[in-house]
Amino acid sequence: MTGSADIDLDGPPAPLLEVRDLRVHFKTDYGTVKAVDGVSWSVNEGETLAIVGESGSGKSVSAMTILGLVPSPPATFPSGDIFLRGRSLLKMPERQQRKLRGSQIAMIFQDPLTALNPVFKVGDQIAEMVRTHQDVSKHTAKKRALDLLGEVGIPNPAVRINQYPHEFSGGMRQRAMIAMALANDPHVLLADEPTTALDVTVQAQIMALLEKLQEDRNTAIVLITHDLGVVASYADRINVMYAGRIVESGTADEIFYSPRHAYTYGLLSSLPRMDQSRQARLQPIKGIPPSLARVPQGCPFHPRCTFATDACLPQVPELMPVDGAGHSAACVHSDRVAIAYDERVTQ
Amino acid sequence: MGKFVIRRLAQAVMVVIAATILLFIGLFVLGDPFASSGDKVVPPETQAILREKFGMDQSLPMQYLTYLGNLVTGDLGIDLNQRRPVADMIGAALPNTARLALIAIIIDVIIGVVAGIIAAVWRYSFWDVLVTIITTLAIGVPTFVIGVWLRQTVSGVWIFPQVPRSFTELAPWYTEVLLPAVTLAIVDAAFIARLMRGSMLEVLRMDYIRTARAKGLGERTVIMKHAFRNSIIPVVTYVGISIGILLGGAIITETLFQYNGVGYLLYRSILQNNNPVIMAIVTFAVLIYVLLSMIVDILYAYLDPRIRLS
Repeated sequence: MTGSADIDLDGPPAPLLEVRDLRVHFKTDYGTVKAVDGVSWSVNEGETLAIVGESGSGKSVSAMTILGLVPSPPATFPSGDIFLRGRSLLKMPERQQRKLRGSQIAMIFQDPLTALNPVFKVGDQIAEMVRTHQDVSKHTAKKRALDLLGEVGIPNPAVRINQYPHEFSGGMRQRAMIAMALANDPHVLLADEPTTALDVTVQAQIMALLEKLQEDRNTAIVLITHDLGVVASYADRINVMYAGRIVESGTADEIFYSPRHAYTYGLLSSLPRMDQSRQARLQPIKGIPPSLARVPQGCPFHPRCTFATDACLPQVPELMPVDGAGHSAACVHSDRVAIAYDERVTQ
Repeated sequence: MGKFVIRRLAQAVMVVIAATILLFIGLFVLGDPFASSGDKVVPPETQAILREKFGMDQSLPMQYLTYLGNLVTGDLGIDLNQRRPVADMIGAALPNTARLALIAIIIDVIIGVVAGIIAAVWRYSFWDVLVTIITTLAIGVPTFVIGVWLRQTVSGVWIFPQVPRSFTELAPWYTEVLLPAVTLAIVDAAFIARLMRGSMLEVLRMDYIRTARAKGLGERTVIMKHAFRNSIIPVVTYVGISIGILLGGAIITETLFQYNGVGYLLYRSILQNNNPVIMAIVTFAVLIYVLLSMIVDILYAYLDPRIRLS
């Protein structure tokens, strides 16, 4: 990879990672599952982009597609592309894509217990990551693993390096996963529910660690989570996903203080808030997310939506700019949502 | 680990004692080896003398204790037929059986593991279907059918010695061992292929396989390093048990091919009511079996570090 090939000389510089109108469909016996259905976003060095949604909203599939780990078939990619510094990942041959995996784009997963191989030492698993992408000796790789374990705040790394995953606690395992992911100083880190399986106190530690490592290395982080609470203080931008689409996109402040999509409103109303003197009653979103093989007509959220009217039915609402420059929402009733939210928080 | 080994040893001793007691009772129920039977006429006085000579005039518990005592000192007794030391008879048969077991295991592990991996990695492909069909057939057809068929069609052809054959005719061991080994290996290989396929499929769904791919590892490394080590564990158990069974003598297969192993010796001894030989071989089989299941447990701990602690 030469530096010059990475720079697009025409027009503005390409974003570090860009997903453009991505569709990922799966052909199944029950119909076509539209796991990702026309999603666009981009992220730059040092930025944290959060993708928030319930399970089955297509957020994890987007991440796996970026890594090239969605097997096709059964998956098809009817439209869209993914660009890493302007280079298409979907059109890249598998061999080249593999070279990027773990070196340019790395990923950490939800459950650090099952994400580490139980029969290999933690240090060896990290060293393997180093040796897969760098031409170094076993000894150097092990030394690097030792440094990384220290860097992610694992006490006594010289002992820990020779232990197996089951000898680590949940938080320590996730730290080890992070050490592994950062072994080759990737430009992009995909974090798929990195704190979901952990205790609340450990969650905060892990997020703080990610933030610190990001500052040191200027890594772009794509944070995938179902938990708006986790992203609140860490994300620069938030994309809210529902049924394979982005329904609202904005800065963390925009999403938290002036949501414009009924679904975001629902998510926030079901979240306890510390920043308000008087608590409004928590309101869960009723119903369950739709099966992605049978997404409802029109706005996919309308059967569960308290704002829904006939206006929601004819077509899927497009993502439209609302107030701020980068703030957009795909909701027919975005004005009513804004008013309702104001009333709720000033109650 | 030391405590674990001691506990396992105590268990092993109890299993051996229980098995030999059952065997003793079983042989007693089968009847008196010196009694007249068919055209074999033994005068009552001779019977009494023989019983005394072999200690069979004593009570059953006494006989058993004597047997255990002799066993501990390594004395397996004298066979009833030709008055040869039983230890020598087993000593002569055992290398043949060990060779047979080893060759059969090597064949079935190689074929079984490779076929299982291929079937799992290319699931639902032509090769997977082929493996499924062949293993179903191999497991469904009894060993003796396969053995008889091989004996009828292949023995006497090319390097394979003719069976049944005269015992004066000597064949080199490696030609003698091939047909019984293949007979034994067919069923086992089918079993191992299925075990390996199922285990590999399960492991390939694991999160750590996704992690290995996310590292940018090639598919070969993902399967042969990260998935293999995890999926081989059930196969190790099965192979351990299988070696135990084979070393105790593959009675049917050895007999079919007149292969001079422990199994064939046991078969002949049972026909002749040759109790000391039966006792010795079965005790030996139990010992081997118990020992091997211990080794399997220890191997487990090596393959899966999580077992080492508990």
